[in-house]
Amino acid sequence: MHTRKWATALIALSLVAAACGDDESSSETTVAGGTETTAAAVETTAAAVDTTLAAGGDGVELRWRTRPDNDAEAGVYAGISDGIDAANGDAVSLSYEPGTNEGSPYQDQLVTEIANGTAPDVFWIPGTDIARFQKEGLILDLGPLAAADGFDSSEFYPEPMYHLTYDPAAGAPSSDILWGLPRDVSTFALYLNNDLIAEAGADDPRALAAAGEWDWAAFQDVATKVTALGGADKGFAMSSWWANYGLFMNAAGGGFFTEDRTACALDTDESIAGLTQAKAIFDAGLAVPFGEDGEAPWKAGTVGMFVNGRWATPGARADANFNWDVVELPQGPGGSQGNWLFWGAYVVNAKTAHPQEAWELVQALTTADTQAQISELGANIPSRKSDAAIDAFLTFTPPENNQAFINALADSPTAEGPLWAGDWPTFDTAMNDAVTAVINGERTIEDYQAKICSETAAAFDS
Amino acid sequence: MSSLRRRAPGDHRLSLRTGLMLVSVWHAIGAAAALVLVLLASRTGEQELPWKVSIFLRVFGLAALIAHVYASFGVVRGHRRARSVSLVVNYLVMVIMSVAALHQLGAFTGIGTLGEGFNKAFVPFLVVLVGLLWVLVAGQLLTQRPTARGPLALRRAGWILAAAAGVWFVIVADPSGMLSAVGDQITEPITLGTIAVAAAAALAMKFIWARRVARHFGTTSGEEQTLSGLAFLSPNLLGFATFFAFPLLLSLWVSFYDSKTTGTGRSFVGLGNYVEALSIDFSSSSSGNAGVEVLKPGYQVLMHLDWFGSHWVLGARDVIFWTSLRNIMIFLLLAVPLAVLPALILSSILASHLPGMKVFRAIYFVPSVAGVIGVAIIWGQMFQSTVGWINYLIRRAGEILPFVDPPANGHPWLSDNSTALLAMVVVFAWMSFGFNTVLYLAGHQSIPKDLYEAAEIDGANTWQIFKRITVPQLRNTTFYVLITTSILALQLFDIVWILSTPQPGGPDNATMTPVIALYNEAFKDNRQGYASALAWVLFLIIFAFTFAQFRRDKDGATSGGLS
Repeated sequence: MHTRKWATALIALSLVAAACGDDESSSETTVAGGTETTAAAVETTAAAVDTTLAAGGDGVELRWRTRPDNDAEAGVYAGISDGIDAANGDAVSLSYEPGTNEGSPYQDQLVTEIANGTAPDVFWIPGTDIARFQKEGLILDLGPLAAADGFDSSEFYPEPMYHLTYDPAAGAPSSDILWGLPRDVSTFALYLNNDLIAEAGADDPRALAAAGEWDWAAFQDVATKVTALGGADKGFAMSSWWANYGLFMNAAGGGFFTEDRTACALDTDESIAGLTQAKAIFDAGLAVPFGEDGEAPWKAGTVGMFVNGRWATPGARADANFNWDVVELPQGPGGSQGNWLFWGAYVVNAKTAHPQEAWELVQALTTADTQAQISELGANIPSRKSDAAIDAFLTFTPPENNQAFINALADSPTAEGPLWAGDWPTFDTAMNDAVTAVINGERTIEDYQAKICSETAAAFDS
Repeated sequence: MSSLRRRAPGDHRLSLRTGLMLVSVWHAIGAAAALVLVLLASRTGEQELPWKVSIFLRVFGLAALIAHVYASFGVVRGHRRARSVSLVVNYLVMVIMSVAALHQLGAFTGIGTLGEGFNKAFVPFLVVLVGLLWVLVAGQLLTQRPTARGPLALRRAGWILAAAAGVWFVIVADPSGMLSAVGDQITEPITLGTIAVAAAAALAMKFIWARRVARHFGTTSGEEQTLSGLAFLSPNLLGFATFFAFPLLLSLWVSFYDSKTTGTGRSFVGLGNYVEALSIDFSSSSSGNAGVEVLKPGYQVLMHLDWFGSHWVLGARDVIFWTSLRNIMIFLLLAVPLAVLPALILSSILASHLPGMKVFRAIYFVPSVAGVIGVAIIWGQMFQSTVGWINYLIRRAGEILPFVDPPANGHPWLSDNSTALLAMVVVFAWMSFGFNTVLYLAGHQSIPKDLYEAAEIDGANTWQIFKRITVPQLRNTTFYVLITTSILALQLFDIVWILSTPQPGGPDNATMTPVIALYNEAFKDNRQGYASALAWVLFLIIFAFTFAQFRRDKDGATSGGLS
């Protein structure tokens, strides 16, 4: 009996040992759950990347993390990591950790790990969090390392670089400061249900945009006609996230902050005009009620126009069973779409043991080649003003009218930015509660205009 | 001291005196190591550890130092308790060092790889299982017919199949990388050192555990039983201490500090966090629209009250927390009855012996085992104002029933302040009542059947039986169900987190709960000390609520049901 027990134990042990596999399989584990497309993407990317970390020391281990929007994107990042890893031989060993998907508390987990000294060396954070992380001393100033390398950041869009080179002490950007490099950018567009718009007999927004007639009046006309179809059909949908009502304020010539971003500008006449326009759309019943999820009814085919960023494209491709496309936001009375430039950046953990290698990894992750590979998936617009990368982005269809996102970049979008002179989450919470109350009719817009800046004053440094 | 007698020829065991001396020296080394740990954890400057880690290591190191010093002196002097202390200390050292060695060998990070390996070689793995299954079946057959040739052949075939498939599995899964990595790592001095310390602790424990050593220390049978009991309980105890008790005590400690979640600063504030959380101000006002101007500085308006023609303003320093307390009390009052009463009634129906009841029991239990995130997402879609099922059904009802007047645009259940919390109540009750039904069903099993028979003979109707027999007999079950459901309700987090976007607790804090409030304080506002204080306030509320229920239930408890 003892022999059989030993034989059984031996088989079990062999199975476990064998199942542990080899080291190479561990990188595949990081994209477990991905589709076949993911695996293919990994191979393609690994072969394509040829980036060496010039100053890589011997046996340096670096961990890095970003928040992919889906498994396919996670696969591309893993492939990029493998490519850089392979290019550096034994000098540097990279370990990629996909962060949680959109909507999950990615930053909360990161903060906890930083506090306990277990965070990766390099990680991505949204643009609005740069100031918070910098103020707490959680990220490294890469300025001296960049200066030593003679690094040129002029190829990146200037709006994110404004914040990534901001010197809190001076209250202005500085050439000596660098908090990170932007991973990608994105803008808003209107996702269209062309079938529904045609059924309503409304003009095609893309044609109106091409003719230069796509403004708030035309937008409201389309929304009205689609809503007139009756039933559950609505002309427009947007979530209650700050960027959605913010675009109306921007388009009317207003905004959240004063030009130097040190005080509230929510009570200016222009901002109020934008909010009034947003409220009018909801009051007229032209939109899915404010605060409700707008994406689900758009995918269900009952919404004509739905505003969202480029990140919504993969979901639209997967779930929209109708003829759909995108168009740029309508021109507001302020003379622009009022669009946002969303961005996030790779930053370096202030506690990293290998700052030089981490900085070189940040550069490797933001090269034009790397960005082109990610752009091919369609969810991200390159953060470099590179024609090659943008061309790669434009090849991803549907939507046919990818150019709408690129056009928005040329329309002076307002950069999603951190609040260097205060605390963004506090401002966001106070503003969102007040705006929600106004749009839902629980508060008059006059009362809002009179008090909103005192209500958000606590968010600003005294 | 008879155990110290000279060894018999051929007895290769370590002499007791030598063994005890070695164990004493071993503990002295352990004490020195613990002292080094305390000193390393107390470093300042660039090498300073995160303060929570530092506190943990210092407390742990200090306890280890005291235990090692006591054990070192105690074992040579024959102190009775020193043997127990030595056993516990060596056991803990062995466990900790074993875990550390496994970590260095990559065993924990390899769990994901393990799954991947099984995935790659799943077919041969199945074949291995089939082979082992044959062996198992053959063994069962052989117990009935020990000399039969068929089962013997089946068993042999099973072994051959399992072995062949095992080889196939190993080839497909390819463990060479893992073995190579383990081989590389195991030769590292730190790994070898860790394994050596674990082995030394195991040897010391084995020696101290021996019966002759126990006799030397005059260990009683009661102490032996206690040590054995602790050994069996140790996996759970260690987990409890590491993942529950220590974090709990640490959070109490942190709650007295103005501590940042990022670990970048802290200062002692005593009860300051508790004072901030609980401070309220109550002021009369001539106007119904009075604001912060009638309150003390630092207070914000919580609510306006009109009593007997007078206006009152209730303010708080932390309006969000007080709002969350108000919300959770309303939630508790609505959700608990909805999660308990239907369960009581349904269990009475399911307890009957009607055909198909077992299927229904399984169906009603499904919401309890479904993932809360998936459930919340589905409910979110059902509550959607324009394409949600609930509004659709209301619209359909409006077409059929003349007295139903559905809103033209569909009601925004989740984004309307007045209904958002109600929507959470519905989801919570739906998820909870299935499990409560199962608890009640268990309670039904223990009700003596002769009570029902006697009632029927006496002519009692169904309602009377339910009211006079079932409900009183289920009193203990009801108590348990009420307590557990209430605690779950007071800790509400996940449902609200998923259903109230983009800001959990919205709209306008209508669904803000204490747990979401403390989460926001910790992770959005970076105030871990204050968040810990909120957690303890919530703990005290739950404790007081449960204690009151226990006191209320203390008298008049009847037999039957879960106790």
